[in-house]
Amino acid sequence: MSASTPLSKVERMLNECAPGYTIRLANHSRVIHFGGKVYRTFPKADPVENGHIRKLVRFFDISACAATHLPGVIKEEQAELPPEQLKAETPKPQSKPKPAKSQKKR
Amino acid sequence: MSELIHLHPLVFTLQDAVTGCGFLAGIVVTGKAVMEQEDGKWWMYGVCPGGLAGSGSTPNEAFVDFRNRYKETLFDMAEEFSSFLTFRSAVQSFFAEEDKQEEDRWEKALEFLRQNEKSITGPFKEMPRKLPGDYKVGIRIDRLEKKNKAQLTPANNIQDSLSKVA
Repeated sequence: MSASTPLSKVERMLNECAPGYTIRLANHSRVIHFGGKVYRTFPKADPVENGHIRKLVRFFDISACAATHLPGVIKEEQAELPPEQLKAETPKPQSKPKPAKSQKKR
Repeated sequence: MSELIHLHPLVFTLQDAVTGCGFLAGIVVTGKAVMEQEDGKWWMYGVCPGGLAGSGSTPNEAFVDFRNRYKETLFDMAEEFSSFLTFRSAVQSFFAEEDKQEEDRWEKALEFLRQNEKSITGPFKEMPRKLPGDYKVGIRIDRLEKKNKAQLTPANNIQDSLSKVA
């Protein structure tokens, strides 16, 4: 698992940044309602991988607030960066992506 | 070249058959996503549907995880909604709920990619490529058990695919 954050910290952030939000368990994930939107894919695992938290925060458009509560998780949004900064140093070579053929069981 | 494109704009197509309460739904989605490396992993973030993310140690693993989370979400909705009509409506809403920040990132990544074609390296260089006219973003939800035999042919089968956009 990559860098992750306890669910309790995510909930504290949501209390401040998404007041009135609700969260419930579904079979495979947590379902979060806020501002008329529904986020259906938040992981059940605790702690939660930071990528999922970043996605949730972008989806609900609460990045500025969330960055103050989870400064080590929510980075400055790349959407606000000029195109020339949408590049990075070369990472290690990766295998070639292929179409997914089989479903792994979780 | 010491630099490469960090944020990759992608399109994908997935086909699923999902059993609900008294119905069998066939779902084909063509959506948009971005992929990037964060925290030592590859992350695939949905643009449409906007509420979806997957990760893995390689881009392909991230796609498989993204794909599985999408399928699990369909399963959860099949459990939650008791008729085909309410299920279809929920799936359409799930697909349509946009993530404006992700959409902006996708557009800017595409703009950057078009200006820096030679910066594409690694696994994305060999990935199939789609031009804007090659795909149409959308979702189709059919009630399969209501189709007649003549409509059920192998020609309907669609393989999962992931392509870079250019």
